[in-house]
Amino acid sequence: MRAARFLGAPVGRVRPAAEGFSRKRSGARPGPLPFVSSCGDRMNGYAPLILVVVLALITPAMLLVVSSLLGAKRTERTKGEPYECGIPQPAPPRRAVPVKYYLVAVLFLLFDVEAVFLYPWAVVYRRLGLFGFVEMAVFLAMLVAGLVYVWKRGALEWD
Amino acid sequence: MSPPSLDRFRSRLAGTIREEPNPFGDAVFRAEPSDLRDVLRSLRDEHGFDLLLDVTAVDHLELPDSKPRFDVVYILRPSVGSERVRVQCRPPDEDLSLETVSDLWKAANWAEREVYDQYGVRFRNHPNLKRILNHKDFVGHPLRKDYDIKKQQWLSEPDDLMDEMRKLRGGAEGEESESVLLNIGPSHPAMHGALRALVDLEGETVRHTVPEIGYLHRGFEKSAEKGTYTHVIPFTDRLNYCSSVMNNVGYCRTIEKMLGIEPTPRAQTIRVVLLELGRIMDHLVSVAANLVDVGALTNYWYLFNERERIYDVIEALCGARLTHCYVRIGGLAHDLHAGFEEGVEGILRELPKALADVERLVARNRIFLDRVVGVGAITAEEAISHGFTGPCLRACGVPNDLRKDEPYYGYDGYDWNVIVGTRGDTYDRIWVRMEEMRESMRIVAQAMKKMPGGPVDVDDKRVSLPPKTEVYGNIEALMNHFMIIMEGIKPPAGECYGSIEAANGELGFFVVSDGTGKPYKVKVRPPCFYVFSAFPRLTEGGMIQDLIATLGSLNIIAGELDR
Amino acid sequence: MQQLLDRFIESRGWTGDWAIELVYFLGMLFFAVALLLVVVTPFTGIVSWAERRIAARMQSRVGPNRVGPQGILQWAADGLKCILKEDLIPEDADRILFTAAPYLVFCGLFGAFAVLPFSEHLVIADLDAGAFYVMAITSLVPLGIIMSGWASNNKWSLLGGMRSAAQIISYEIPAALSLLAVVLAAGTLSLQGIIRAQGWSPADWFLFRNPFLFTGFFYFFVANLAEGNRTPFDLPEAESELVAGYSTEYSGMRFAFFMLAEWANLYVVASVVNVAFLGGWNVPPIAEGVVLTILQMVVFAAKSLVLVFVIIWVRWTLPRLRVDQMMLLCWKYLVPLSFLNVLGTAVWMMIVPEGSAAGRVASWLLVLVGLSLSGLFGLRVRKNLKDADVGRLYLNPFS
Repeated sequence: MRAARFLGAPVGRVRPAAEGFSRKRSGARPGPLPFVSSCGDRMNGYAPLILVVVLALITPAMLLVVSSLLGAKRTERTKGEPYECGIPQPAPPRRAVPVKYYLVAVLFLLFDVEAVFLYPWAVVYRRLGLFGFVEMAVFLAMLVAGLVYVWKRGALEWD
Repeated sequence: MSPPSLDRFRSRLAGTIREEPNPFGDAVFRAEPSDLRDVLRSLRDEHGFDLLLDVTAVDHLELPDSKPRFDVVYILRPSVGSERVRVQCRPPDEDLSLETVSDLWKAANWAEREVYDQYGVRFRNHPNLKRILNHKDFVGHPLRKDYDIKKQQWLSEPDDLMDEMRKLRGGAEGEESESVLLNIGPSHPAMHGALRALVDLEGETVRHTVPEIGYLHRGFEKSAEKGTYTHVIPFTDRLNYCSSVMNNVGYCRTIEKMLGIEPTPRAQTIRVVLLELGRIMDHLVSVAANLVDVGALTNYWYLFNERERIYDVIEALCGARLTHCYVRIGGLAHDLHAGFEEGVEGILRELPKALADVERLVARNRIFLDRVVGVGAITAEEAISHGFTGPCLRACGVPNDLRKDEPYYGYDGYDWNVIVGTRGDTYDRIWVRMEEMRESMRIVAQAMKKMPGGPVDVDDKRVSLPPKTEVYGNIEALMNHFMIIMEGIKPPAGECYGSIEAANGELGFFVVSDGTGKPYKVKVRPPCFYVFSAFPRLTEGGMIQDLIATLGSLNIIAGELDR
Repeated sequence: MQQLLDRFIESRGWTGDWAIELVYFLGMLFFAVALLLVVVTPFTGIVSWAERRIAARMQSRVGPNRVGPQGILQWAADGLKCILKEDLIPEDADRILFTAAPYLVFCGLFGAFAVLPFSEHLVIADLDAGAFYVMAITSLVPLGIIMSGWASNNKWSLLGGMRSAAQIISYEIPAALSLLAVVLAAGTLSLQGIIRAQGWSPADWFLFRNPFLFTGFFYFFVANLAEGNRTPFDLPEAESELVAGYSTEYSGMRFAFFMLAEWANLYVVASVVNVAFLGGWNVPPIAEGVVLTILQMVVFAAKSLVLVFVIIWVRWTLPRLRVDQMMLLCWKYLVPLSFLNVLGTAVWMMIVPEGSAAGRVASWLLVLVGLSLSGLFGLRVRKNLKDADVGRLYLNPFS
């Protein structure tokens, strides 16, 4: 039962008219089979996703199995060497990565997580009215201030 | 009559330096090893000979004057101007070393390495005297006369180049360093031919570059000593294989200079047409590959379609597409075929459209401009010091062009311009080539228009084969034919440097004749050898992508780079 | 889909929950399998063929034309070849990450197909958070790319992986913000909901809803090009610089997954742009039932394929950016501009209520702007085609 709740909505032949998140909460009976019943909310549930993901995992696996059965197997030592334009590698590549990549990662975390916060707001923006706008404008202003700050500090320069 | 600057030099150095008689034109001075640097510096600083064209050596082992054995030759020229001067110097046999001039000219760095590699002459205080064309484990010096051409050596371990890289990195070595060593080439899509550069990367920024060449070294100069003068012509095809007819002409012109003959007017005009077509082909390849390197792939086909068109015409002319081997000493293999004119007309009609296509795609393309403007820039002084010639030097704003400086084959009779850039960056190098193709088309059009009649071979029994009908019916002609084929053309003994303006710059041939039918020595002065020596200077501080874009614009042809 | 299944159940006269559930389940399974095997894979393959043929046409080459009529089965031959090839794993590679990376890339893109609508009723899963889901699942792709770059023990791969990491996560921000403006206008995260919030006429599309969304379309498109590693942002696999970037050490089927994902991505990107800005499957109410569904499918596919063509066209026209320029374009242009977009859209929605006369007028004006822009562009293209004298091409691939 828990799984069913997680995977999607309980069953109900009658599709609720309400839009948005409310659709999941339609008070219909649960089906007899937990997993199957999760498909019951037709296309709105998350169960089909699992199907697709499972398929997306199985298909390549099958192809790889077929490939390993049919594919050529002529291993030799030089085939396993890393490609560096025909010269033996002078040093292994996995060493310290320049710090600017981390900087990009941190900036990404900052701005992308903030952008994610904005999504629920965007969905209910109409209902919130002016209050929602002002509130989010303040939030956005702070974000932009952050962007201006990192810009001025030169964190956006790649070199 | 000698140019004034040389006269001044002569009067200044009377007594300390000896001028040697030279039947083939260039002034030759003989310096003592102790005076060599002063003489060269004086020539550079006070007399305007600022371009060190080439350094090579002659092994006198099989010549009458074999003591001391090696004669090191420095060929100089003003960056704009026609006169050339050679300074020769014989290091003593017991020491076999000279003072380096690599601090005077950056070009001397690689040139002296090559002399050391090929002849074993050492240069004192040279910053990095190691082999350059041959493998690091090679034993012996291949261009010495006592090195057997058939001697084979099995060399399989690549040089890790760490000796040079360590010097460049200095103290910043060790595991904790952020930099990564990366080999770009020899087997890399952007290293046209088989070039290699070991780069020290910090992120994507290139801190140090160590180029290595020689992957396509096949001993052209040694092979050239084994056949007759005519046998060398097909070898020259393989130097700059993008415009092989230019190498043919460059070589044949040098031998003709030794023989003291001038091709017939018709042969000269045909050569001009082929030279300019060759220049167009070469520039097409260079620009197309360069654009591919910056990711503008489609331009490649637009330009290569036209290259195919030129190849079709040349294939009809001589049967070969890549290695033409069409020029002969004293003339040409044969006259033009019927339809050549229409073919050239087709080229002149279609090529401007292809160039316009490419210009429409890139000329005002912001991404393209961002990628090439200011990238890999070099000043004129540095370029001259590195021995740049041709489009790469002209991109720096120096109007260096042998066709104007030392007009041959009537180049002064055509109406055309020398194209120069202003910044010496990748953009200028690409655009100098684009515009030069247009100038070349103008020359081709004028040459085709004024194409004179007459024979294509000189009337000189020393070089020209008699017609077959004569050979079959006339004992003198038969003998003449036999002698030229069996013993070869025999230029008078002596040393001669001849050059033409090839697509990449000054293509020089330094030929030594001992009076027999076989060349005693043929040394090529490949333009891109010196251009590539500036590669670290051009790329350090940029990013990998700049390195790739810059390399494409230099148009390094491994065939002539490695010989 | 649901209607079809309902009708099927009714026709059988089945009652009882388990039967219905089972039919739904099997129906879903069938649909998903059919989608993956019959639609997505061949479609991806055909897109790859189309790209190669279009590229060839643009470059006066022939392109693949041997396998099947006009070479349309080339992708199948390529796939077969990849199956028959040896699957190499470099000696010092991190085997687990190395083998897992293609899975992630493959799953990331094929998972996205689950929420892509084909018509009003034809969609595997119409999620409440569809827009979110697409962004989330496609970010498995950079993860896979970084993993492959790291695991290969090869510097080209590592460079490609790092470039890709920096690039994709950077462009995630303008993409997310541009999509946010759309969500703002639509008031829902469901892809079907976003489409329903638009109409069939261009004036009802979000593209022309207001000036901010109009510009937002371009930011979103560019950001999606970058996220999909398409030229001019193909730095992670820049063949003239990084040999083959992150996929340098891959061979056989694993390599094919990367390629497959790349072309699948083409369609995913085009579809998401279509959903968000171009009205998706909306058609004029001129039919109903199965005809309507087919019409919607055709309209949706047509719009997406036009976008696919534009992406291909861009690829074969533009050079490649440099890393620093690519980052600069993102952080100094696209990010601030898309922030502005979000605010602008919010303000516009406050000032100009939906469906008001002012809003309609603005939409139609924007349609005019759009039309005149495309008209100008078309004229330029025509002039350039004339100047280029296409007939002289050395080789006509279709002759």
